Parts: sequence; structure tokens; C-alpha cells
Amino acid sequence: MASSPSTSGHFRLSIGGHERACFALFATTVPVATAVVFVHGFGGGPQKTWIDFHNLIDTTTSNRNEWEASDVYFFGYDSTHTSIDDCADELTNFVNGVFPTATLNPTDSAVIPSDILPVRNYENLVLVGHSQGGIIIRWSIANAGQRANHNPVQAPILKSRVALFAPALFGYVPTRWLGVAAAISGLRRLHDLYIAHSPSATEMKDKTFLQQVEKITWECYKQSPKTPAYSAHVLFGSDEQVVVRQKYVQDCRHTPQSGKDHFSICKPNASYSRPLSLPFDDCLS
Amino acid sequence: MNSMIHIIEEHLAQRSEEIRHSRAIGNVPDAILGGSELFEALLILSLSAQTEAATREDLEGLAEFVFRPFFRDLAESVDVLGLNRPEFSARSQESNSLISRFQRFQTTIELAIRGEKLFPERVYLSQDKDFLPYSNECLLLWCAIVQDEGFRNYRRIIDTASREQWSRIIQDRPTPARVMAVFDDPADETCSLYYGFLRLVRYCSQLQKITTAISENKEIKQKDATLFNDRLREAFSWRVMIPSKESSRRVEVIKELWIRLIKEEAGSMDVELEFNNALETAFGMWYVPEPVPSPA
Repeated sequence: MASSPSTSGHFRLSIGGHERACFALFATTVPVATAVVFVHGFGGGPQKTWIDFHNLIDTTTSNRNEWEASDVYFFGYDSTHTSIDDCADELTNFVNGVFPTATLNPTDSAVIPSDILPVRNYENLVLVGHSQGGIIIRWSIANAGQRANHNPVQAPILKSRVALFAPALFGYVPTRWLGVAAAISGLRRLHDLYIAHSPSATEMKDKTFLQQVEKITWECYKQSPKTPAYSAHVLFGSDEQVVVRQKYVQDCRHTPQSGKDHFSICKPNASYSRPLSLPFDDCLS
Repeated sequence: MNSMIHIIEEHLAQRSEEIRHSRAIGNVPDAILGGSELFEALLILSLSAQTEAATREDLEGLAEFVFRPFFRDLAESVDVLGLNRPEFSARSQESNSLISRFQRFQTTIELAIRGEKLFPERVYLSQDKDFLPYSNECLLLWCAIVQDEGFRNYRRIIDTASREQWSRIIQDRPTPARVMAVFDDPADETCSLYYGFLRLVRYCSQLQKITTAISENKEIKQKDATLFNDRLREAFSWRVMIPSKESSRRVEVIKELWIRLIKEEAGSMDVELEFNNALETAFGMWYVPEPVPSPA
């Protein structure tokens, strides 16, 4: 692990052992209670997608107590060349490595401050996803949920709370009328017709997979509605034009954020603190 | 409690509030729309209780704070004394419309209004539990419908828009992105119309899949399948079989607008034909071919 100077409440460490540039911000307070794992979307990254969570978690007044008692992990993966299935496996492995216990590598050359405990035990896990990151989280959970039917030991990821910014749960917004008709009606015939007649119908081709994720998650939820991971907290911006703005039936829909689009919805700043509360707050309804 | 009942409970309470508000401001068509949705829920939930997809306790809870107050309010609305006061006449219109939309349940509605018997009569099935998975599917479908505000706005506009409002809405020309945005922002009236019509197609198609699966299930007796499917059709039929000529004409206008858009975009008769066929198939289960008149 390589280190950087500590900000006021968290200490940043790059996380070794992963092909992608993952890093974490470890809380200096004791005891730490929660691991928050951020998963970026297509073409995003652990740093650029989540600007400026990295600094604001230490200065925010939104859910200050929760952030102070949280270690924050920024998961990185190859979003442009790797299948969703493989990304989901990577995420599962990553989560298994940090929750419920993470160990800071003692052989690391970085100087770890004495107030950072090398062994981190967590009670809570929060997964935060943006766009494609949302579908990767849900596929990881659906896989774990299916395995839970045959295995008495519950996977750690099933204990997570899930917060999603503009998730691509139902794919990308079609740009032609036939695509719109297929997306809204959900009719297989129109879907096939669209693919046959559209020069750029790739945006619809992944629908079968997305429907499978939804179906399996729903089946898992029906069997175990109290497992938190099956229902997500979902927030879209009112100017969203990249992904279909829809959630699963069992999800908690937070009131859309006016003036935010697909990319700005997950980036808190001094005048926009809502992203800092989504990982912890319930919706009002 | 069944997890889906929990979702439905939340929305029924919301509908109930809306009906009260609509009555208070004299918006009769809107109260009728809400009332139809509540009665539709009652039919679906009673099937669920019968097949044990929901428990009797679930239903009693809903009856206590949603259905009984709704029917009690409706009872107060009936002009039993024949006073012909405007508030009585509006409420009579509401209860008459409910009865006309669910004709086979006229007795159930009248008894419920009098507070005598809340739930519709059972469907007599040989093995209730054979239908459990299908009842669950129906509950899921209804969950999706009640959460779909854009779909509800579509029907509200079809039923309640004034002629001026309608012609203004219909002259607007939305973009594909605007129509897709209804998923999250149903306030756009024009786009809700385009969106809602196709959602209706979707829900009809899903219901058709359920009824077909029931009919094709070899474990289920044909007579039971017919009875169960009839009840399902009765629950949802008011959404498709619109008795008002004006509302029905508006649905046709939206359908024609969609066909024109698809035709202009694809530039091919085949695509238009296929699109039209897909719509007809989805609505197919609602239309029984008229008997050919026998020669005199």
C-alpha cells in the first residue's frame, strides 16, 4: 500500500493486490463501524467519478457521525473491456476481502499513523454505485442470493445497504421511436423489431441480461424480504438523459434531484451535499 | 406480511387520500378513477387471500384503514333520500360509475357500501393453492401498476382533460428522450400520454402471459383455469374496455400517433404492420369476436 498525507479525519492508502487503482480512506476515529465501497460506472474511475467525496466526507455536516465512523473504499475495475459478469466477480472478491474484517498490509512501505488500527472490524457494509456500477453491484448480490439458497453461510455482500446514483438497471435511453416503444412496452416483438431495424441498437441488446438481474433479485427478495441488499436506495437527477430512469419494484426511490444530470448526480460539492447523505438516509416515503 | 402487500398498502393509502381530496374539490372523474383502482385492488387481493398469496390478516388490515372507509364514504354519497343536492348527485355518479365498470360485482359493491360484506365472492376452485404462484405474479403486476405514476397520468388525461386541454396536449410534438423521461418525471402531460398507452400494452401483455400460463398448466383443471382467468380479466377490464366514447376516441388518437411515428421513422410498411400486430396481440385477450349473425 502507498500512502498520502492524512486529511482531517481519514487517511488515504492505495490498496495493493488489485489490478486496478483502488484506494481507501481509513477513519482515524475509534471504533470504526462501517465499510463504504464505491463502485464507478462505464468509463469512470475511483477518483474521477466520485469527486469530491474524497475531501467532503471530512468536512460535511451531512451524516457527519456516520462518515467519521466509516472506512471508505473506492473500487476500480476495467469498465470498458470486461464483462459485467467478470466485474461482478471482482467486486465480490473485493468485498470479501474487506468485510467484515480488513487487514492493512503490515509489510507496506507506507508509514501508517499509529492511530490507524491495522485490523478493521466492521458491523455495517454500504455499497454505493453509479450507472453501470449499479448493475455490477446488483449482479454480485443476485449471484450471492442464489448461492444462499444452497449454502447456510450467508455471503458478506448480502448484509450490505445499497445506494445507487443513476443506475443503469434498465439500460441506456434509446434515441429512436421504435426503441422507445420497445423499452416502454417491454414487448419482445418490438425489441426484436428494433434490433433488426436500428443501425445502433446495441443499447438494447443487453436488455435480456438486465431483465435476468431484475428477475433473480426479485426472487431473492421474495424469499428473504428483510435482507437489506435486495432493495436499493435509488437517486436520479431530473436532467438524466443517459440511462432509463427506473428502479426495481422493491427499491426505495428518493425524490429526483433537480438540475443534476447523469454525471453530476453523484458528485457532491459545497452547495450540493445530497450525495453524502444517500449512503445512509432512508427515503421519506 | 407478504412483502408485496406492504408495497401495495402504502399506495392504497395514498389513493385513498387522493379520492378524499378529489371529492372535496368536486373532481368526480378523478374520484372515479381512484375508486376503480381501489376496487381493482380488492379483486386482486381477494384472489390472493383465497390462494394464500396473502393472509386474511393482511386483508383485514387493509380493510380496516382503506377499503371500509372508502366504501363508507361512498355510502354517504348515495342519494338515499332523493334530495338531488349537487353533492349527492356527484357522489351518486361516482358509485354508479363504479358499478358500471365492475358490473358483475354490483351486488358486492352495494353490500360493501352498506358495510355488510367487504370481499367479493370466492372463485370456486378445486385446488386453491395450485394458483399461488399466479396470484403472486398478479400482485407483482399490480405493485408495478400502482407505482407507475406516468401510467396513471395517462388515464387521468384520457378521462378528465377538457377539450381545450386535450387539443393543446395533442398538438405538442415530444422527442424520444422526453417520453423516456416520464419513467421518473410523470408531470409532462403530452409525454405521459405517449408513455401511458405503451405501458397499458405492457401490462396487458403481462396479464396475458399469466392467463396463458394458467390455461396451459396441465396440473390445473380447465374449468378452474377459466374461472380464475375470468376473475383476472374482470379485475383489469376497466382499464381497456372504456365505455365513454370520448375517452375511447382519445385512446385511438394516441394509438394512431404512435403508428405514425413508427411509420415515419422506419419508412417501411412491414415495420408499421408488425408494430400494429404487436399492439393488437397485447389487447387480444379483451376482445371476444362478435358472433356472426345467423341468416334470417
